[in-house]
Amino acid sequence: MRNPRPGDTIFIIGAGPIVIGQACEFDYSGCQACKVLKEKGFRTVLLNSNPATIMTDPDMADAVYIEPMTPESCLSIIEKEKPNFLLPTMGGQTALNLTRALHKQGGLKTLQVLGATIDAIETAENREAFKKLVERLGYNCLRSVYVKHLDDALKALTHLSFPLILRSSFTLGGQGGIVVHTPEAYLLEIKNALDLSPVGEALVEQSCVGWKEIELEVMKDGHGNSLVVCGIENLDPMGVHTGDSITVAPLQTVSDGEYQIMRSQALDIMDGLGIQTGGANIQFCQDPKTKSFYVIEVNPRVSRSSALASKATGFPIAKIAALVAIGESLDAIQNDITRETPASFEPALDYVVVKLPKFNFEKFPSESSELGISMKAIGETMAVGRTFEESLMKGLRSLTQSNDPIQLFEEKYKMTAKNLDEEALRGMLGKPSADRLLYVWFAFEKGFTVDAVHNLTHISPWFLEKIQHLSSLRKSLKEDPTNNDRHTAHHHGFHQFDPDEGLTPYTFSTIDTCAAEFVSYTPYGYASASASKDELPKGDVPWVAIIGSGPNQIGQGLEFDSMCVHAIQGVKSKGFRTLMINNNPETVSTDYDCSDALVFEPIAPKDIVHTLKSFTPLKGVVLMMGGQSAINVAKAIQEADIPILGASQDRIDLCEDRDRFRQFLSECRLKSPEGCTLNTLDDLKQVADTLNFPMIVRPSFIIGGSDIHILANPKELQNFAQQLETQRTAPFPMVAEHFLSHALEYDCDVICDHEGNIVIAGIIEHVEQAGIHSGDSTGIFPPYYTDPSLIERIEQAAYTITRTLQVNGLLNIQFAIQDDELYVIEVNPRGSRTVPFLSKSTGLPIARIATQVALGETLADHFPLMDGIYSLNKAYIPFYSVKKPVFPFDRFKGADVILGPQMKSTGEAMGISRNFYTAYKKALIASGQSIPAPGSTFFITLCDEDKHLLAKMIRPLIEKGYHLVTTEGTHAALQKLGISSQKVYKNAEGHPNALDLVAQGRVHFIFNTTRSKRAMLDEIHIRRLAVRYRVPYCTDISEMQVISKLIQSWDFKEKVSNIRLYHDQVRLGGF
Amino acid sequence: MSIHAPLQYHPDAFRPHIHKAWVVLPNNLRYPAYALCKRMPHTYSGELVFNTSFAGYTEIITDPSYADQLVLFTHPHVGSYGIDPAHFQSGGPQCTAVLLNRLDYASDGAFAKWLLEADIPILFGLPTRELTQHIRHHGAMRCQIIIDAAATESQIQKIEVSNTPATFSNKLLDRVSCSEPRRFGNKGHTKLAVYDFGIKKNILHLLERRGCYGTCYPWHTSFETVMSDNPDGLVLSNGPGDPREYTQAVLEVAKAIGNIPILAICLGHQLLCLALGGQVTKLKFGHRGGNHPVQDLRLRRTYIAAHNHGYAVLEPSINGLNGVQTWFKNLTDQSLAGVISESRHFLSVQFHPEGAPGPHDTHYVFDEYLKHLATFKHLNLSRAFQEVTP
Repeated sequence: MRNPRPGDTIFIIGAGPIVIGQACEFDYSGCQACKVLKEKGFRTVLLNSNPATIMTDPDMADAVYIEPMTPESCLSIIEKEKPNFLLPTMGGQTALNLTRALHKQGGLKTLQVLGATIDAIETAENREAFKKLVERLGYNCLRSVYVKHLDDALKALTHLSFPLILRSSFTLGGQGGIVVHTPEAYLLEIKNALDLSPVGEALVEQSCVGWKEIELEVMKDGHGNSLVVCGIENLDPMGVHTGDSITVAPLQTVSDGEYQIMRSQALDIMDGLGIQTGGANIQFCQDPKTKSFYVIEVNPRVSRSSALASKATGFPIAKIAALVAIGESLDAIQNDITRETPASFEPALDYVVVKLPKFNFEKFPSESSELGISMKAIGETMAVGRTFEESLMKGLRSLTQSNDPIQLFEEKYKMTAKNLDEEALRGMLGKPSADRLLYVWFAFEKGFTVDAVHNLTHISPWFLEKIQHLSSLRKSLKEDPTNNDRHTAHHHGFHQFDPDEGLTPYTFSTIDTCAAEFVSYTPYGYASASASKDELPKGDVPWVAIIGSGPNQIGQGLEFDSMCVHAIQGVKSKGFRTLMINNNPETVSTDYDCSDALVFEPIAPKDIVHTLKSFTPLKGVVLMMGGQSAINVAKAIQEADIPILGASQDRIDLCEDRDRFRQFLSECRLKSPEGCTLNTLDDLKQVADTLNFPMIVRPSFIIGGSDIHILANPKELQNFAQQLETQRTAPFPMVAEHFLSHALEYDCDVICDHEGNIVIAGIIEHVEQAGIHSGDSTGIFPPYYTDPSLIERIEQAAYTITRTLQVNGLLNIQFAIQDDELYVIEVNPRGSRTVPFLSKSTGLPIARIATQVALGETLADHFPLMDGIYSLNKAYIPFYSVKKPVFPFDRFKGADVILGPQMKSTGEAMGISRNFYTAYKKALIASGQSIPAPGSTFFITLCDEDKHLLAKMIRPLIEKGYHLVTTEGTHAALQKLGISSQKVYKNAEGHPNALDLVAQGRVHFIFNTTRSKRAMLDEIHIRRLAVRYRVPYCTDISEMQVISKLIQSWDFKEKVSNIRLYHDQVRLGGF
Repeated sequence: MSIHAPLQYHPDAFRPHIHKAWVVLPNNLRYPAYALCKRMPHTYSGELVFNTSFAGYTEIITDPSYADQLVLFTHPHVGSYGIDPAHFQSGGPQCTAVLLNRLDYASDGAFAKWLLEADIPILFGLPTRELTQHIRHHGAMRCQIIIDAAATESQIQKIEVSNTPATFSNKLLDRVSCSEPRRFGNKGHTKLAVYDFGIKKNILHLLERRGCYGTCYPWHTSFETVMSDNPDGLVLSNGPGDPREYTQAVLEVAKAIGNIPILAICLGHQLLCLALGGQVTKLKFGHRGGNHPVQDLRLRRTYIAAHNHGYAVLEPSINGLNGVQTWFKNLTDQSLAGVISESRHFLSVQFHPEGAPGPHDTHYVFDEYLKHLATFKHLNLSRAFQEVTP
């Protein structure tokens, strides 16, 4: 054992694709670690399969590997780069699990693990060992039993009483955790919990549902110094996963005595676990009757909560964790914000931080929005205000992007306090759900007492009193908008009044780690109506604001954070000061040393406008990197006469208004699918008069394809119309379009400068056919299957559109080809989620260039030889990049895994190789799938339409020695081809059936396509089971063909390579 | 000048006691506010200081060291978990006034009710961050609080506040020290005498938990009287005010040094250092909160400790004195945070190892003291033994 010295090589493992429970926070922590280790003179090597991360930018580490997150990749990297040290604590559970796997394979013999030891990781993960440790230290743990078999499970019942919590060992974000109240439910769920655990273990624990839940973020160095950075109190009591809970920092409802008990225990447990250095998160709960504290768990690494704590306090946990990992002591590290005090202090806050989770249940209609101990939130938003009330109101605006979030909810759900009956409300308060805060609000509006709501929700009365007051303020303002409560409401965080109503002006305060005790030098802040001296940075250099995309949601994730960071770099290079506005605490863009000024503010019209007006002189606003969320405030910004850099509000409107858009395309002489706007239910019922089936119907303004439906025939139309009639919400106006079945799709990103020069930053080929949301499709760059002449046609169309639209900046165009006819599906006048992938596939910092171009550079400055137009598809790129989405189906037990026009993926992984099939295979593995070895079994059940492809697809499988299991129709079709297969029943109608085989682990890959709604329902069980038993599956016929080809060319020798070596081979040439 | 105060919700029971008020600072600064208090009109004055703790308001308000001070809380929500007498550090509230951003009526207004009945005004609706910055910039200062519904702005503007520190001589100590000797603890293995300069209950509590018992003496008790009870050790407590005014106490402490193991905390530490011949200086705005690091120079380890002091001992004045070693350093400004002397038998810290409120990291200071007491006892026993054996 020795301490690292400058010049040593440190291997950092990232977290891979974004999944529920592991989002941008690990890009943030990884970036901080990479940056500071590089500064300190270390050689850094990085592995992450996620191309959208900033940490995989080629200049973030000395060697960056975008390869599958597997022990094999790690071993190859270790062999090539010969690192001296491994830092596993920055990449979430994925990195810890990989480290354990490497250790088991003996792969860590040549390098030393920094931060947590293998033993500490094992103890923290193994609840039995952890419990023993906590008890040895003299602290409380909840009563629990560790179970490996059903027999153990039955025995456990003899000394535990219901309700019980079941948790699987070694899973992400509490996956597999569930509360059971009866023996029947227990027996059913324990099997599931055992299956879900990669090591076949589960913990049965006494339930503490309804108790107070608190987390502490602890930091420790290798010199015996430790401290607590921040305490976070969960508003939602135990029973709701902390990632799904509304949380508040600092602690509000615990006394100093209680806090110090937890604090001391937390520090002791850190020592006891053998955590040598770094950050950890420790969770406690408090029994409301006895007031005793219980230790729940420890994460011996930086986490989602530590990202939140870093942003909430200004204490950069990941950066400090990296520094202490290389042997520095906390008292020798400087606090960046105050500059004169050391990092060995505990931040003091003179404001309140509220984190609200962002859910996307609307994408999974069959999934109940009830919350439990398994995390379901897709993202989160952090709000900062002087008081809890102000922060909560800001947080709600960040979630909804509305000036009046409660009204938005009322409209969305067609629900007000008045039309909710008390009994129903009581029921909704009783079970935690995504919208419970709203029901609490309504309950108070209806006159419920704090006690009544507390008894139903177990939320601390302190929080309830505040919400009650907010609710009464809003009610009073609704009755009389001019009354004096306006001032009170303004102070409590409402933001629906005009600025010149005599209200206290908003001022900006600094998040300074010390409650103003010391001078701070970092312009990182928040606006508050609770007047204080304005602390805005002074100076004459103009600001350029970059608006982020707020909380992660399906369709809007890490990619936009990555683009914002590039935009900041671009703006800085032009000599302007950068102002970052965002409210997602997980992100790199909200790192205080990323931009010249950072504010945590809602991306809602009024908040954005007053923020922008506060920063003078302001050159303009970059909206194009913040996805649809940033575009949503374009109108308000335009109306406030603030210049937008990139597409103007008019251009945005042109692309969003389908009528204007069709008109525009016809001017360009380009085709789009026939379509019309539906303003009423009657319009919908009569749509078949103007459009041919199949058709696609959706609301006009959407993110990631919410609420999109494909209607195949009049019957489905009728059903859909009926469904809308009974629904509380009417999503009109809607857009209906003829659906291009069996079409191939292409994503195209374009940069345009103010002189009208155009660069196509890449045309990505989709594997799946049109109808599957582009965000859920497998993307290939450069295209592998497409004829060059077709690419040429797409390029020409893209040039025409871009030239006519005259957007100075980024543009995304989606094309479809059906029967050799080119259609334009949509145009987004902004950066799209494919931009970071294209950057990693080419080495070009596309978002950065686009920002510089929006600030006045010409494309010729970056592509000196181009002549007006250029396409990267013309560049010499001797390798392929494949992007595969990852899905949250393991969280949403009710959801079908069949893909459609609604986007469902949470993240993506990339495979890169000189050989297309190797790249594809890497992408598959990186996204969590696997290709079974010859000799294993495929289960195949295809719809009739696809059966003609069987011969081509299946023969190679047979030749390679795979076994086939099929259902009746597919069996018969194969028989006709002279291919034999084992026939099974589809469902539980008889034995042997597909479900049995999946459950018994006798099926290793599933090919399943379905078209009709009926068949879809029939086969849902197989797909659900596949998710549960982690059997790889494929539900798209095009992808099946790729996989079958891939298997034919099985013997590739896989190689890992520094991404820079790929990029160095790119030759732009051919201008 | 408009009141920034949020027109917040007040339960009916408190409304009659809410008055217009002003915080009047030297250099012509006035902050309008509201006050919750029974006396109207009334003027209060004291030294304006800020505390950055996020919890522990009950302990802070009942800490006698805050006597004559106007305590501003930087944390916006104070009173959020009600009032529990178990948290009291003395018989009741000790500071002159409490300054807040908002007034919290949690737990049926327990916090407001408590201070209203104790006749301690709560000023709220203040831009507390701005005031904190002001103190940071200009130093802790004497201020006035004017509670007067009828006062006009121009009247308030005319008020002059001088920033020269008030001199109390021993009056503050008289106010917070016990008036006659008071026993504490059940009979344990170690008997202590405590000079009560306004001691916090938790110091006694932690000593009791370690098997100590004994007597708290009024601050002016002579050292001879204290010793007549044959204590094993002497504790010099925390307390309010400027130690340089307490010459009488310093004389008594001087007699004790070297003759009995001493544990000195905060004001006690300053008095001990003065008695050793050291110098004490007033800090610009002091250290008040629960988040400052102190480094134990002997262990080379850093701990987070509770702080509440406006004065500090100048390290050069004490460094190099016979047998005296610097024990702790405050890492935020490198000021002296503790001294120790094995040969002269004292352990002395500027911070509050007892926390309350604040971290428990430095509880081991009490253990160190007890270890020292045991060694000292052993030493004396063997000495006595040597004396009786020929």
